[in-house]
Amino acid sequence: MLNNGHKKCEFGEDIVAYLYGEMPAAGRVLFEKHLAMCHTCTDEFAAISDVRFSVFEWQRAEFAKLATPEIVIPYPAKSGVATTGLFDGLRGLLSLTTAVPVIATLLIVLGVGYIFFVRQSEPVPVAVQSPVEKPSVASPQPVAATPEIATVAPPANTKVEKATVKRTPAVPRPFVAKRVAPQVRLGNDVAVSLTPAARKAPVLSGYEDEDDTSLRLSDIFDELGAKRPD
Amino acid sequence: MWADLTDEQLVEKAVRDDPEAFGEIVRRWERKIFALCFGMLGREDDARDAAQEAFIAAYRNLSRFRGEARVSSWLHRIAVNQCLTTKRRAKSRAEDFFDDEDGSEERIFVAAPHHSPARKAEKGERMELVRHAVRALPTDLRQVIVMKEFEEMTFQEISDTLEIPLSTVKSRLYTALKQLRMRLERTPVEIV
Repeated sequence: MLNNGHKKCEFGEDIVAYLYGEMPAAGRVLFEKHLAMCHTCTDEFAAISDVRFSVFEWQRAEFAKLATPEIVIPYPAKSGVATTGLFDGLRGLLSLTTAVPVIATLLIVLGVGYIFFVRQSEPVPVAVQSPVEKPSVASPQPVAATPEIATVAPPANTKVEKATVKRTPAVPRPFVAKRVAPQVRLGNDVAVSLTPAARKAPVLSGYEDEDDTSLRLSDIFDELGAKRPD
Repeated sequence: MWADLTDEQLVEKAVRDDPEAFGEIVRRWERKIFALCFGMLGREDDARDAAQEAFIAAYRNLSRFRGEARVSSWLHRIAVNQCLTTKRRAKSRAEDFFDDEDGSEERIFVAAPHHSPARKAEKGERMELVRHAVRALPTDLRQVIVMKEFEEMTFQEISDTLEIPLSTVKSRLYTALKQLRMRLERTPVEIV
């Protein structure tokens, strides 16, 4: 543009940058100084500002007041089942048919292995030497379900022979089914059974001598007529 | 009454014997001066105040008008000086609160109050003219106008979007506004 017909100003882009507020601060100061002195640029700036304001007013009047439309995207309806391809079902079927035999085979192998292991770990009947019987020991009462043991009692003062124990294979290993209360031999062939009830200690709290029915050593001595040790 | 007189004749008449002739000057140029102030200040209320101050300053200095330049140029210069004064005042006020050295000024466009039915009609007619003028622009020029005014994109964003240099964006926008001005001046709006 010509400045008073003499000087050509090249501020076209600067006018636009200044108009839209996108000019750096330093450039803005220079442009304003030029604008205050140059009639041509001032008139040009005024004209461009006028047009720009007209466009702005048009935009504000016709566009800015319009409500933003609600955009609706027609997405495909979601179903509970995931979409599968043509071969997905077939692939799933194949995987199922391969998994079932493998699992069945594993179960069979494990079952056979377990049975084999149990058989192997089962005790084999062996001949057991019967120990020399000790005559004076009050052993616990045998249980009725004990296996039949054929014991050959050796004669007194004779050499102990080997005793053979025969077990029927069907009978399980002997075990003590009941625990019999131990007996205390006190003498005169009197045995006192120390049952758990008899061994029950008196309750210390709220102790009443009349209420105490537990077995006492003094009672035993009294019963036996023995002299109480002092 | 004064419609047939030129701007210079109106100023001469206002200085000589009829101060109200200046009213016709105001009526003819108020919008353009307001647009100039709006372009410089970016705020509609500030622009309105600056335009008011500019016309008052012009009226008080009517006797100094020598006729060396056109009245419009004289008014433009007064308006520019008024805007610069307004900016300096605003800057000195803002310095109490924050540093405005980066030049990032708030540019809020607030709706202007509508004054009269005649102005509304004038505005509606002008809107129609602007619409037609924008539609008549070549596509590459209309593109940058729409991106700048409607989408409020920066020059750099337009440059990135259209994959053209930054200077091309500015020159296209400048050319677009000049073409719009020519189209709008060819069909002046009759003021009711």
